[in-house]
Amino acid sequence: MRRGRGQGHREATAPIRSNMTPMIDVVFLLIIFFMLVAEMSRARLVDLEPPRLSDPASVEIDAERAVIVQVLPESMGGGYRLGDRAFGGDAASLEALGAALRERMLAVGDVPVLVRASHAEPYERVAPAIRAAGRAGVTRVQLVALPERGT
Amino acid sequence: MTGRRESESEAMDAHGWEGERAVEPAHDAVVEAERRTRPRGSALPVMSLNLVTMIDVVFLLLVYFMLATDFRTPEEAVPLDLPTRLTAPADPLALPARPIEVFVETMGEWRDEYALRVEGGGLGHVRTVQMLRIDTEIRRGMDLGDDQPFVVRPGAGTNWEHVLAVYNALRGAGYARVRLAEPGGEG
Repeated sequence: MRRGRGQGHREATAPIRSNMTPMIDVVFLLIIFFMLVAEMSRARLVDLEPPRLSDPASVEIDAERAVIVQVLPESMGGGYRLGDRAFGGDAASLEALGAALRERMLAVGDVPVLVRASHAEPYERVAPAIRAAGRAGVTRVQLVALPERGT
Repeated sequence: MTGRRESESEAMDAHGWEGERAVEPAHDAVVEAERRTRPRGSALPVMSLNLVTMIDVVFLLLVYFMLATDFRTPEEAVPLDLPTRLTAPADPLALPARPIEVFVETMGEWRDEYALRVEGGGLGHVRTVQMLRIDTEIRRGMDLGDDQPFVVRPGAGTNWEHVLAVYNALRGAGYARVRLAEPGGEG
């Protein structure tokens, strides 16, 4: 019943088909993989909810160039965060935060410093971050919020 | 047993390429099942659609678009200009305008649970952020100057949410010289 290999000339006339499906599968998997990697390597934002503003006077954030100072909520141990570096809440740590900020501003040029804090944060804990920016010679600060615009 | 062998080889012939059988066993099973249910003697070609690979790709697309979509509202930022000692006033002889002071204090954990009080500028009646925004916007350029300075003075333990709401209202009304006072001090 089975035809031998000797009749290879008949097989040669058969159309050559390539199965694209596994290739597409793998390509999509690669895309998803690299998207996930890109997501993780992005500047890490602390999981906090900034204040919601109705009728906001806010502007879009230039995420590529932004220097972000984050006020860590009490549940995360308090303190502040600039990039990947964490700072405590005492005077010496704030001094260090100011120095790090000045260093950073020298490196990136004249960009606004974003201050990102939770909506429930007491003002006493946000003000030192703004003051540290002022001491570091920053003139433009931006306060991060979630805009609520009418649909 | 022989019947099965025959149908297998027929299926192979239909494909024309032996190697494909190994990659698509599910497809072959479908072909064979249809061959069995078909009435004997019928010479109709087998119509079959392999759904498995399509479902694979559709799920991948689904995951791709779920990842690509950002479901959260994008964050924005309200600009705040910090005073610098280097900037001199435009007219050194002009009298500095007396800043209007806005006191705000948190009364509860909700967004509208705050107390607001304004000193100066005839804005003593203002009690809410919305009112502050409207009243200062209407009077800008009339009895309040375009560059009227404001100071936001949060009380002890005021939530950042309420401070920012007041600040945002004044910025939204068009005033650029709004300052956040130091907590607890005269600053």
